Amino acid sequence: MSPRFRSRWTIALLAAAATFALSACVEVRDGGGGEETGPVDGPLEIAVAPKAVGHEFWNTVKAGAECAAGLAEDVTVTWDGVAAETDIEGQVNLIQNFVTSGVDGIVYAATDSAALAPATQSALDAGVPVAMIDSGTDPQPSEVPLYATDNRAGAVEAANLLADALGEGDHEVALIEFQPGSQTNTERAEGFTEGLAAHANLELVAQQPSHSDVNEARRVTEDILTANPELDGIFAANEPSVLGAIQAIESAGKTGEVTVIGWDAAPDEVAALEAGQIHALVVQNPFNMGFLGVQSMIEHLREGTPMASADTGVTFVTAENMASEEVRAVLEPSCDNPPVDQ
Amino acid sequence: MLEAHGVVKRFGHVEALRGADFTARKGEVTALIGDNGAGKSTLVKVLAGAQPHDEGAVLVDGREIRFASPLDARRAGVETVYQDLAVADDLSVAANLYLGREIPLGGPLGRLGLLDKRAMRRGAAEALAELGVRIPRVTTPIAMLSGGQRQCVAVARAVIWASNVVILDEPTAALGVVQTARVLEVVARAREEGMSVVLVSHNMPQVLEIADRVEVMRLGRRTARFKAADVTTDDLVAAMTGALVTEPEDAELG
Amino acid sequence: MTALERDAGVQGRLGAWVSERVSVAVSEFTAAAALVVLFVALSLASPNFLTADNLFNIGSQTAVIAIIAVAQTMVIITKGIDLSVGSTAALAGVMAAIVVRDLGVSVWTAALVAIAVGAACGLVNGLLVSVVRLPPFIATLGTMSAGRGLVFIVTGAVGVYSLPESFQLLGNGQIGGVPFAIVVTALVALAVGYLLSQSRFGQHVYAMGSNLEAARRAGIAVRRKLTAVYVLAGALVGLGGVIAASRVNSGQPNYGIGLELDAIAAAVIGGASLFGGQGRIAGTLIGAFLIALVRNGSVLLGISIHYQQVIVGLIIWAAVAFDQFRRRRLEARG
Repeated sequence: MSPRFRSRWTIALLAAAATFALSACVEVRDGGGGEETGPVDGPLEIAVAPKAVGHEFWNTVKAGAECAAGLAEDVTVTWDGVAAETDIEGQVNLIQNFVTSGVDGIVYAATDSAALAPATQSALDAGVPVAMIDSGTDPQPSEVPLYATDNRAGAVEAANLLADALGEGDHEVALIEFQPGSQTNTERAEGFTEGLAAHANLELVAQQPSHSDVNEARRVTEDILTANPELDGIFAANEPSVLGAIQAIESAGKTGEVTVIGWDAAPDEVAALEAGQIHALVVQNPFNMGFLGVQSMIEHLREGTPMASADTGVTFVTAENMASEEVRAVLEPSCDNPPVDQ
Repeated sequence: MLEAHGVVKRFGHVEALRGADFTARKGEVTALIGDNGAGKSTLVKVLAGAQPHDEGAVLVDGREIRFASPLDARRAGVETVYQDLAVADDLSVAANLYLGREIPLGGPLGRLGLLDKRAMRRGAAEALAELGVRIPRVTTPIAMLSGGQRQCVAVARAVIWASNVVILDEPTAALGVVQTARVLEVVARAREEGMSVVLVSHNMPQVLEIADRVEVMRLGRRTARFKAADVTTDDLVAAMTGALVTEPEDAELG
Repeated sequence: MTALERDAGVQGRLGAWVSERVSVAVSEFTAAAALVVLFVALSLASPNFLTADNLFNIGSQTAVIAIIAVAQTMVIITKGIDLSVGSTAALAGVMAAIVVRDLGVSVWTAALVAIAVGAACGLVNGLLVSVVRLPPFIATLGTMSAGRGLVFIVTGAVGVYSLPESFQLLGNGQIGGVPFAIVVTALVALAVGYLLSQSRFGQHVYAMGSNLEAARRAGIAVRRKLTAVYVLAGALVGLGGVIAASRVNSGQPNYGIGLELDAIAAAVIGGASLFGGQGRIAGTLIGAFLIALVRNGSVLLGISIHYQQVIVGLIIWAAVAFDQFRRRRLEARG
């Protein structure tokens, strides 16, 4: 084959391919835009992405997602996530890669509400439906549901729990937040301060972030305890923050003197609750997030049902109620006894 | 005494050395000159142990030696000063003089690798004084010295450790007049101590000033050799261009 | 030698002596001065700062970063950089936690495992740099990524919890009232400081960073020694990793993200040069404690995290600017 002929042949091929791609693209756009397209039969691949891999919370989300997939037929869950919640750009790329790899639907938790909005939109534009769990985007398209904890309401209640535990008299309290700038963090921090406003005897004397790193949580808590020897209570707003805070209190010999309200329910948090190092835990229902996200995505893909947002709820766990059936389902979620309303 | 007989060095199918001969006698400075590409650098690398040769023989004090590395050459008493890359700028003068040959502390600490820094400082100061090298303090990092002082340290290091041969590759190329004079003083001391000194240089007046003998290379062979006292700069240039040949049997190209 | 030259020589000698003394110590001295100023300022500003408890806290908090910064300093002196310290520390920490949890070994055995894991990561870095001849930035960037992946693989991306109380000894235990972590850090700093400044190996480390080719030609086995530097650094990072894990009594797969930057900052503030050949352990310790004091002081005074980061950034700028200034002056003389 002469080079000249070959190049002409290549051009012809390219032109054909381009035409085909363009028409295919238009078709996909039609399919993605119209929500009423027929149900997808056959196997489904649903991508599920946490904010970051490596925490108990997200593994429970994963269990919920896989449970929902297992209850349906022919559904695979592809689980992938970035290494750190701060890797926002990494998550943007991850979502794009999901779209490129041709998954049927994406269920994910946004590391940043603004930065991930375009990623969600471009997935929708490519005809891939999206459901958000735990943290949504801003703006959030109307066809994209959010299955999440009402963080603000949970944090308000955390302030109330702290006030109840501390009782009468003036008390100094501190807040260990995790990722300043993230929406979940903002909601919990604001909810907590909002809740404190209702209790004039509680004063917020310190607020420092842990960046979701146990060692850093321990460091800032140690320093807060040093700066505020009279501190009576701490609200730690996520799992690493709680674990670091109780380590710091323990090493300062102040266990029992400082009342801790925590968030989430990692095994060591539950153990600390049992040991009396933590007064109460605000426990979300990550299992339900993964479960609802994947379940409604499957219904949407198979039957065309529109997906609707839902509050996945929080449970307030104390040493007293932790043995109850309802609380156990939340603390030790499994597909046999799922903490979901069916 | 350092000799090379019929040394051949090939790079692929290029012959950089085509049976080169060379002789440097004790207590003499032998200048090695030649145009660019004549094979000087290659010959120096072979003599310094930086590159193995393919054929021929290198002899130190009449014994044939094959250098597998610069370390072998150093063990045979051959020290080389390269035009650059000679010293570690952040280390002190003393540390540079003893680089790779540090003096350990006596006793178990020495076996642990700890150094007798005081002995090294003292040794460095004495050796430099003996060679007439003036450096403010042996604890000064090399980076704080002038170019001439650095080169003096490099040359001094070679002279201090060499037992037989010192090879100097363009030691004064980057230096000013005064600094060059200081380096050449050190070279002269090495000759007085009975070493064979090999000086590679492009500077003909300098060659005639310091060298006892001159060997000229052209096209990978020795083509001429002179007593420095007998020749002029013009003779040397003629030899480098091939117009003057004193070693017809060597120069005969195969 | 002419009379003129002799005069210049004498003058140069005095000038050289002064500028040598001043310039070698300048970064370290500035950092130390900043440390003292900050220390005094915090003592005055916060009644809670100058207490034994708080000082021990700062010491324990700084222990891990200081040990890792010491490791980083060795690598930086060779004109290298180790970006993998965070991943290596995390891998060592979770491996130590896993062997304690699954095999029930003692905390000491776990520490040895962590050190071995760190040394293995260092060996990979060392071989990539000295044998494969990758630039250290690239070699350790790869290890940083692969190491983090390995952490997630071995842990299944879950923290390693439910460890016995005894695992906390390294991070939370005490010797004669002094936190164990501080004692370990002091021993490490002394040993490495002595190694670098007094031993043949240390001399060769500086020589390789200053001029690798000159070191090679001086007969130093540069490949072996460069590899040894990375292995030793990795072992120290492993030790740091197990102390960090011990402090929180768990193996955290997300531990140490961004740790390499803290370690580099501490070394650079203390006078180590990214151009190689320069750096001292004393300076690095000063750098690590300067950063720690900024963080501790910010919390004590209730300053927001965002300002802390700005302050640390300013300190890094100032330190490196000094370093550059000093280098330029040296080169101008040469």
